[in-house]
Amino acid sequence: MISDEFVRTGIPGVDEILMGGILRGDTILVQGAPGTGKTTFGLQFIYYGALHCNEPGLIVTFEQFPKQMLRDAKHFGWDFETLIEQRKIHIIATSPHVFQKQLQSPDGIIHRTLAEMDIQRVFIDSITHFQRITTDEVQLREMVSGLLNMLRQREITAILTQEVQQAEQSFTFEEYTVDAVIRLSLEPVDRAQRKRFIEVLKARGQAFLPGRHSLAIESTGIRVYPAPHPILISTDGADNEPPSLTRIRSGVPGLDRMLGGGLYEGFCVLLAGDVGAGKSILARQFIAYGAQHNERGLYVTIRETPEQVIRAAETIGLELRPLIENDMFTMLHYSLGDLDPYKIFWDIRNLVSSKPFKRAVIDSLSDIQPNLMEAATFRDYVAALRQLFRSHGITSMLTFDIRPTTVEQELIESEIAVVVDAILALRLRNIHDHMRKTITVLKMRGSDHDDGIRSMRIEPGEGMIVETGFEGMPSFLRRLQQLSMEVARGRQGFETEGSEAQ
Amino acid sequence: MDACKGKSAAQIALIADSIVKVELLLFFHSNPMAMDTARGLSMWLGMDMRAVEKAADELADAMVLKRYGEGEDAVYTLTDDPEVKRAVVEFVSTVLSSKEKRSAFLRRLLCEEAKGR
Repeated sequence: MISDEFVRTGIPGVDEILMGGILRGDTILVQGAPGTGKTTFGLQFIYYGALHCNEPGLIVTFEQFPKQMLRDAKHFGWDFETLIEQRKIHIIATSPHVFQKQLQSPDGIIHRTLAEMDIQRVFIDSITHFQRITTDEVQLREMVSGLLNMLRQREITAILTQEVQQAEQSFTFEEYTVDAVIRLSLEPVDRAQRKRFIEVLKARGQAFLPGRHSLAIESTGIRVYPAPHPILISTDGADNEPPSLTRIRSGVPGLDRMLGGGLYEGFCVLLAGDVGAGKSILARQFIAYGAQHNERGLYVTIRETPEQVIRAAETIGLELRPLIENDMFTMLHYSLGDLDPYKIFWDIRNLVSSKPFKRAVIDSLSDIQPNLMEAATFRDYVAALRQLFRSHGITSMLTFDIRPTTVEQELIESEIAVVVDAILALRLRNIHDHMRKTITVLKMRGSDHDDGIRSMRIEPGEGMIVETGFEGMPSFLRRLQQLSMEVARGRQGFETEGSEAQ
Repeated sequence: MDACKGKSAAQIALIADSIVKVELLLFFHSNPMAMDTARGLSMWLGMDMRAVEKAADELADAMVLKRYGEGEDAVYTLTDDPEVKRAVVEFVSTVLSSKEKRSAFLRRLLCEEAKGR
C-alpha cells in the first residue's frame, strides 16, 4: 500500500523507480534536451492528479501555447478540456516577468488561483525562461528559491522543467535547491536509432532505483520500463540450492539422461552455442513438450516471427498451432529494429503475473545484449530474468550465440555463467571433414550429470536426438574433450606468462 | 469607453479594426487563461511590441481585455464579463472560423487601413 505521504505521478514505471511516488509537497526538476518528453511528463502528472486523485492542478507555460498543449494531450487520449471546465485544471500562458510579479503579489492571479481552486499540483514549463528576466545567477537563484518556498509553504507538489544539453555534466544551481532531479535523455543506440532514457539523479528523503531506465512515449502517454534489478545475486554458493527437487523433462530423452533425470523445476538454463547448432530447436522441443503435458509455455522470439517459429517447428514434427489455440503456448515477438530490453522484461513480468506459466524460452539473449546501454547491466538483466522466472516456478531456457572460437572454459567463466543454474553448450565440430553437432552439460547446479561431449543430430519429424552412448566416434569425441581442456589450460598459461613478463 | 457592453459579434468586428487586434483576439480566444504584458504578448504573437501595446490598450478601453497596472508593467487578460466573452467567441467562430474567412477579413482591414492613409 502506498502511504499518503507519496503523490503518485500516474506515469507507469516512474512511481516504481521512486519507490511509491513523489513525496507530497516536494518540487521535482525534470531536465532534458528538446524532444526528451519533459512537457508530456508534466502534463501527464497534472492530468492524473486531477482525474484520479482529486488534486486540482495548475499549468504555467512560458513558451508553448495552451492550445497546442491541449491538442498534443488529446493525442494521448487526455481530455483536459472537460477538467478545465470542471475547474480541476487551470492553464496560464504568460511570461516569466509577469509570473514573477504575480508571485510577489499576494492578491495576484497566481495566488488567487491557488487558493480558489485548492491547487495541489503545479507544472511550470520551463524555468529556463527565467533567464529572460535576468542572467545574473544570484538573482535567478533568489527567484527560484522564492518560487520553491511559496510552493513548500502551501504543500504543493510541483514539477518544473529545465532545458539542459544532452551531454551536460556540470550541475545547475536549481539542482541543489529542488527536492528531486529527474533527467530525461535521448541517446543514440546505433547509427540508425535513438532511445529515450530517464534517470533519477537526486531524491531527498526517499529511496529510488538508481541508473538509467527506458522511457517510451506510447499512444497513452509516457511509460517507463525500469531497469530490471535482481533482488540478490549470490555467487558464494548460498544461492546454489535447487529451488525444487522435482525434475522436469526437457523433451529430448538423451538430454534428460545427461542431466541425471531432467532439469530441476524453476531452473534457468543457458543454451549457449554456435549459430546453427540447434539451440532454437532444443528450446522449442522443451516448450512444446511442456505444453503437451499441461505445462503452459511462453516463447519470446526476436529474430523470427511467430509464423516462422511455427513453420520451423513443423519441420521437426511439432504442431504449435493447437497449443496456441488451447492457450498452452504464448509467443511474444519483438523486431530487432526497435528492441527495448527493459520493455521485454516488463512485458514478460506482466504476462507471467497474469497467467500460470511453467516453462519459458527467450530466443535469444544475443539479440538483447547489444541493446543494453551499459554492458555491465547484462549480468543483472539475466539475473533479474532468472529471479522472475524462479519466483513464479517457471523453468526457463535462454539461448545465447557464441563465437566458433570460444572454448567451453571461457563460457564457464563468463559473466552470466554465475547467474544461471545450468549451462548447455551446443557446438558445431569438424569431425573427419564433416560438421557435426555436439552437446555438453557445462554446469548443472545441485545435481550429478554427464560431463561428456555428446553427439546429437536433428532429424526431420523427430527433432533433436542426443546420443549418450558415444555412438559413432567415441574415441574422437573423447579426444575432442581433452583438446578443448588443453586449449583452455594453454590459454591460461599464456595469460599468466604475459602478466609475469609485465 | 463602453463600446461593447451588451453587444454582439458585430460590435467586436467593429472594434477589431487592425490586424494586431485580430491577432490578439484570436490569441485570447484560443488561450482564455493567458495573462501577459505587451512585451510578453508581442513574443506570443511574434509582433512589434509597440503595436501590440497600442492594440491591447484599445481593446482594454473597449472592455474586451482587462488591464492590470500601467505602463510597461501593465498585464492584459481577457475580460471576466461573460457577455463580452460570448461575443468574442461568436465573432471568432463566425468571422474567423476558417482560414479563408480570416484571410478575407484581414484583406478587408488592409484595404481600409490603406484608404485611411
